[in-house]
Amino acid sequence: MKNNFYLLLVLAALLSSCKKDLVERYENSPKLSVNKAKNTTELKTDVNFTWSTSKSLVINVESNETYPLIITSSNGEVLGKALIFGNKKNEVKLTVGANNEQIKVIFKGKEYPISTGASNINLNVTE
Amino acid sequence: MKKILNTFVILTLVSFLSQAQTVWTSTTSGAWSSASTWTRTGSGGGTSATPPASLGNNQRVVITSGHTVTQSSSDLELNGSARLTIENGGKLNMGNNRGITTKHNNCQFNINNGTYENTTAGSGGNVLLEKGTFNWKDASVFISGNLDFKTDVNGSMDNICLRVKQNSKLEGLGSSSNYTTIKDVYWLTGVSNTGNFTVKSSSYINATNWRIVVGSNSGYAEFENSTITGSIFSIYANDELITTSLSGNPSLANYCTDKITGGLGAYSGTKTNSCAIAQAQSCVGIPSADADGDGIIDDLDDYPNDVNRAFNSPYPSTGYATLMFEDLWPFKGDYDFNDLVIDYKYNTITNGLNQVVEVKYTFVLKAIGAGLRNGFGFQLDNIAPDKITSVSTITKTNNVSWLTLNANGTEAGQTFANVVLYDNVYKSLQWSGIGQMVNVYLDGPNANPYVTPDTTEITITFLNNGVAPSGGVVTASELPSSAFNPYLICGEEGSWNQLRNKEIHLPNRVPTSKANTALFGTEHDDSNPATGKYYKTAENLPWAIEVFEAIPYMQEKQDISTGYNNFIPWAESNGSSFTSWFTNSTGNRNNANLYIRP
Repeated sequence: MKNNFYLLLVLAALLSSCKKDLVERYENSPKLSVNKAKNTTELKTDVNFTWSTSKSLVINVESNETYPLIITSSNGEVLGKALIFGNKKNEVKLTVGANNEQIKVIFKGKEYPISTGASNINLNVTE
Repeated sequence: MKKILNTFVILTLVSFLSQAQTVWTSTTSGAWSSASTWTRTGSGGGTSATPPASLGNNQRVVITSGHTVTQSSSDLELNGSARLTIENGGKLNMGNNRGITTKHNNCQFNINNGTYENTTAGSGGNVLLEKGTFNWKDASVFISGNLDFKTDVNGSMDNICLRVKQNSKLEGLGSSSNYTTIKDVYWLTGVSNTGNFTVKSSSYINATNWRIVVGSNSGYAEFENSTITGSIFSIYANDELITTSLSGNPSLANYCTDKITGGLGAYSGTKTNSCAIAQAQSCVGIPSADADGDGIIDDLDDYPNDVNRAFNSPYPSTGYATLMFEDLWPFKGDYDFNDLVIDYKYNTITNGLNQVVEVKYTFVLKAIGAGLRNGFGFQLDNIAPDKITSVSTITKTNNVSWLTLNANGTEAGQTFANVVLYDNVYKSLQWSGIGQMVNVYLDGPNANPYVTPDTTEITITFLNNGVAPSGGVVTASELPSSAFNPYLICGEEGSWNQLRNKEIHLPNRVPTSKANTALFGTEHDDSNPATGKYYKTAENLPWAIEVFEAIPYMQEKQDISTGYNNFIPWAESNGSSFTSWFTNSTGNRNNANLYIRP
């Protein structure tokens, strides 16, 4: 029984040593480059990639009042304006830079920050 | 008998009181000095057919029932027990920078569902409330000069759009026993002018949802030796917010200036960066002027005096976007994307019904890194040609034989509206005869003198004075930015002609009706209309790229990835990483390979 215990202890130490060795070997190994292509000719991209540096958004606005709506970038540049009709379907389309993560909608003095992560956005400005 | 006697006394008293004053009530719109504008009742204040400009004891004026009364010959004054009331949709329109002054403790200047307005140019037209009472409710007030409330004045404001071209001064407004109430008031001072907002001299104000905006960049908002209770929704003053000896602990929702003198004290507001936005969107939810009557209040109307136009929607939001083409389709090119480089921007103008009125385009032809004599045009996807009234004259197509126009200036024989801008870009960005191509070599044997880019502006008119063409109106949602579909028209190899049926579009953008679709799937092209794949190789490489801002393009024969270090990582992430690869951020660009003139 005592012998078995020592045998298990030796095996555990060996396994621990092997694992440590593997980790060290992985950490010191040269990393594979994420970028495989050296130039544009060598590039391969997904069929759905559009190469666009902008993205199109559709904002579906629901309101109980008719009033103009302003869309701005997060730093206040006006991107577009539209009249929102109360109790009707309002669809506002705009294009923003693909690197633009947030815009603002201003309606009747209230600001609504909107993430541009989704291309179809529902916004209820009913008061 | 006693009851009858009482009734008689009351009737007699009423009759006496009504005779004791003269009331001029508007019966139609017209001039203050015109008898046809008024009906007069009572005689205690005189029997003139028109009210005097200087109203005195027992004289009252009521502008009502949607009438607009114009006074431009002299200032108005309220003396004694005079009372001026604008109500029930009435408007007092002061011309020639005329103003109004209240001069006695018993006089009153009241607005209830009405408008006081002086929008004439200049700097006169002060409204000076020296004494008396004012009660403004559901009103729009536009003052071309200063607005000044002096000591001994008291009153109330409720649901007011108040715009003052110059200074607003509240000097001793209200008293410790009788606070002036200001509720739901948008108060803009310094409209298109210089102006400051001042509360001082022991003013006593009870505020609810009071939005104060100083319109001029150099204007300040100052609160001194006064007591304000309640809440101030926001104070937007670009230059400075000054608080000195202010008590009452009003709560403050927002402010926007960095320069605060006297400290915020009891103010509990948060700083925002929305000064400009606050100035742009005034009078929300309360009556405001709509000079052109298009249903869009002037403050939000980009064209306040044009009933046919209301909103600008620029693309991109600032500056230009850049289009860059390879022109050997259906063969791969060298991926310097400089065979044709064009910056562009446009502004879509819509009316108060969100209908497209016109689109104004600006194109800047910057470089030709090609031997072929290519052309350039664009399609408005899904917009039939007959939905366009006209295209402004384009002078850079040189009456070329392959281009036939419809009467409205769009290209004939197309399903959707097409505009050809250049038949041959070399005719507009002319080769100097030295070196090769235009604006793509900076040095070496092929370099040549820089040629100033060619700028072309065109306007596509949809609604002409509000009238739609035979195809009907186009709404803003029918013409989003994504409808703009630019393309290169390929030059013919071995000649200086163009092949109208050979187009190169941005990836996955549809060809026009003129394009020879038999070329799809040939050579390196892997277009497949059945799957919506257009102008991409089997590896999904494009022949054209659009960048959302104006960027430097590549020097000749330099792969775009040698100028933009994160172009390949961006493409290999399928656009999910390095989305700002084209910007001038650290590490993004290698200027040595970009066409950047010293």
